[in-house]
Amino acid sequence: MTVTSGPHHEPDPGHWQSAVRPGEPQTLAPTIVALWRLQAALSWGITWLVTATGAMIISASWRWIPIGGMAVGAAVWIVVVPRMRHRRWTWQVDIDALELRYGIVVERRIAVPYFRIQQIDVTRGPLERLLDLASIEVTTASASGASRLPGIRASDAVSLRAELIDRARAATAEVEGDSRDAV
Amino acid sequence: MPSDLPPAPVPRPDVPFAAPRALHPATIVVGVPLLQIIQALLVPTAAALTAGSPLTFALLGMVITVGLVARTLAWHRFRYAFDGEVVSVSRGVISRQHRHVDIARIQQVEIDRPIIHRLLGVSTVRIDTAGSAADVELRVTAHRDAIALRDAIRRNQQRVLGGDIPAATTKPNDPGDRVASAGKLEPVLEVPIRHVVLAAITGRQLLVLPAVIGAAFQFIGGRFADQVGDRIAVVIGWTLRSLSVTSPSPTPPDGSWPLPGTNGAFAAVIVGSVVLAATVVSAAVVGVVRDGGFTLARDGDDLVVRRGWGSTRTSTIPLQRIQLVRIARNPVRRWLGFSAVRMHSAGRAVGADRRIIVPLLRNDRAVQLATWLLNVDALPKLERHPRAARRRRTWRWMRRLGLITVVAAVVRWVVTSDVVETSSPAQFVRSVTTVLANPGVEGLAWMIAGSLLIAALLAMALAAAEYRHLAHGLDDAVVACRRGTVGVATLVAPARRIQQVSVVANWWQRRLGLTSLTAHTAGAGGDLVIPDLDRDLADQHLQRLARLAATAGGASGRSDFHQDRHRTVVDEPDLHVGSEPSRGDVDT
Repeated sequence: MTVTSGPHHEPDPGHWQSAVRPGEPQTLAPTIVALWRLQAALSWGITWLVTATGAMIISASWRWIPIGGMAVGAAVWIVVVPRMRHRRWTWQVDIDALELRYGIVVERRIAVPYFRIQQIDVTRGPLERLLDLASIEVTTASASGASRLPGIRASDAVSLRAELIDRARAATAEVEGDSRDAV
Repeated sequence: MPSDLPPAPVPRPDVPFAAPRALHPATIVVGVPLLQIIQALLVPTAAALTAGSPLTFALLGMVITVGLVARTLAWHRFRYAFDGEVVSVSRGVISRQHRHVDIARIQQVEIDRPIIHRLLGVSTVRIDTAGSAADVELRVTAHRDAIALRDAIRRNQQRVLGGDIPAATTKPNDPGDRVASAGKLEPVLEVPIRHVVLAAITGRQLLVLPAVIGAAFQFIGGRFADQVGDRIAVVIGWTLRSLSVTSPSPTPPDGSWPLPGTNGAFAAVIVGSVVLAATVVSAAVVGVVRDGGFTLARDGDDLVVRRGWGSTRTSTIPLQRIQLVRIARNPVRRWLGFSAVRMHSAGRAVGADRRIIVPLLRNDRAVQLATWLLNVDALPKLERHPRAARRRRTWRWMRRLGLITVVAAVVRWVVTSDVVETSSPAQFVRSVTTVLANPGVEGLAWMIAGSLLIAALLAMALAAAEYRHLAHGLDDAVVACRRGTVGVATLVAPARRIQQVSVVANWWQRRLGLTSLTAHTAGAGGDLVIPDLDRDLADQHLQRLARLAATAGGASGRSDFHQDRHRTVVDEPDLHVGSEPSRGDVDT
């Protein structure tokens, strides 16, 4: 399921110029909403089934409260939240760094300088393959782990990866002289 | 066996480790930490001793034999080499493992010598890289090999990484040859023994002995503890009596107080002061054993840290690899005007001792050391945060304290009211709800109101203290943040080492116009978090730090790093940087 990028990827210029528009905020592929809905439906469905079964077994008079409450929560989570998340998610191939902005309740903005990129992973889970999507994970030497850009069209993911690798290489070549190592 | 080793590169004349070598034969026994050996032998030995039959002793012998054979094989199959570019290690008896570490990736080389190592003339060499897995441990090598390997790595690292450094030619005692400077230590700082002791008795290890005693009593159990307490009381009474010789009455067999006029409180005071004295002394001893003779020295572009009496530890960190410096002051040290300085490289951190802590420095010296380590003239001017930050702090303290006090008040009320039944969980819940729904519950309401008021006052005081300390600053070289409530810590990260930058604002922060900024650094030092900045300022800082991170600190930051600012001279006995002791060179 996981495709790790090799360092010797040959970019195809004619292809990637359409997918990556440097310096412009870009949204995720709209199909990501469907993916998030599917994921939410799966996880909420399982929790709801367990709760409902439990509640029916003890058959208390208030058993409809958790069952109903969870159904409402699930509906919100499945119908409303994915669309909001999609609206809030933007990413941008900036001059120095890949910038990600997202979050409904907790807003985040992350800048990953190309020079610091240690590894780029393109990941495709089963549901993502179904919807022809991919995620790009960019890892730096940061102790807090990788940054993930979900909801990229599978075909665009390849070109975006190539773009990021090119930029990382260019940035390293620029700084290389004095500090060969980005850590 | 050499057959499955990687093809050996052409040996360089200056690298004595080009041909694969074995470890010191003592590895068979001391190649495993003592604790591990004890753990491995604990169960079989205990079994042999309790059963006492010849069969179990034979079993114990077998366990030891198998262990020795396995260790011998492991030693026999372990080879390490260093060809000037790559440290390679091949190991494993059944499944072979080959590891190659490029010296450009090496963060830290450490030589560790516990007492047993010193008796045998061997050392453990640890080579840390920024990754979590690619760590090399040579346990154990002859001490002179350890030193030679470390020096070879350092020489070649300087050759590879610092080959184009112009600063080398500006060194007065160094004829333009970087390699020649390796191995010549310039002292930077010594921590006098009185400061090590002071650090130990004002630090966290002061709590070790009380914790051990507490744990022991817990372990022994209440009844036993009572008996032990009685014994102690008897011993104290006996001692007092023999000292004063006033009371000839014999010790009653029931262990009650033998001395007229001696009561429990008096004995408690005695026991308390004995424990306190033992605590202070043991903390001081632990501190001196660990940090005694603490020195920082500079060797070319590396920082060499030596510390410990009894077991000596020598660590080498390339100065450019320092990811984070932390100046910390706990309340006692703040009051005395001292700080501890901790520096983090990107090396893997297992156990507490892998980062390097200068135990104690006067505050101004601590700041000076930090600027020296990061190669800057001064730390950036720290700026206060918007007042909304104080509101958020107050609210956060209120949330924590308020919850605790309300729960405490309710529990107290419920427990003291005699209506509560605990015969069954259902009964309990029902009776508690009855109590809480009772019209006569005003008492509880008052109690909650009172405790909330106290919590609010406390929260405001704590938030005020926290807000007073909260400050940050950044320039093109470093980013710094000061925070803390009772103890205060200032974290400084070099801009050229920042890996990525992010800002986070939760719903409540957005309402207050605040954002937290995180400068992510590599290694175990963790990230530098600046909480509750003004939103627009945070965005500006993000742009600026991302730009600095993208260019490794910008043009200015990288070219002058190796230059002679690292030779700052300070006229202080415990901080002498550089070789010239003159006063005139004080860096301003």
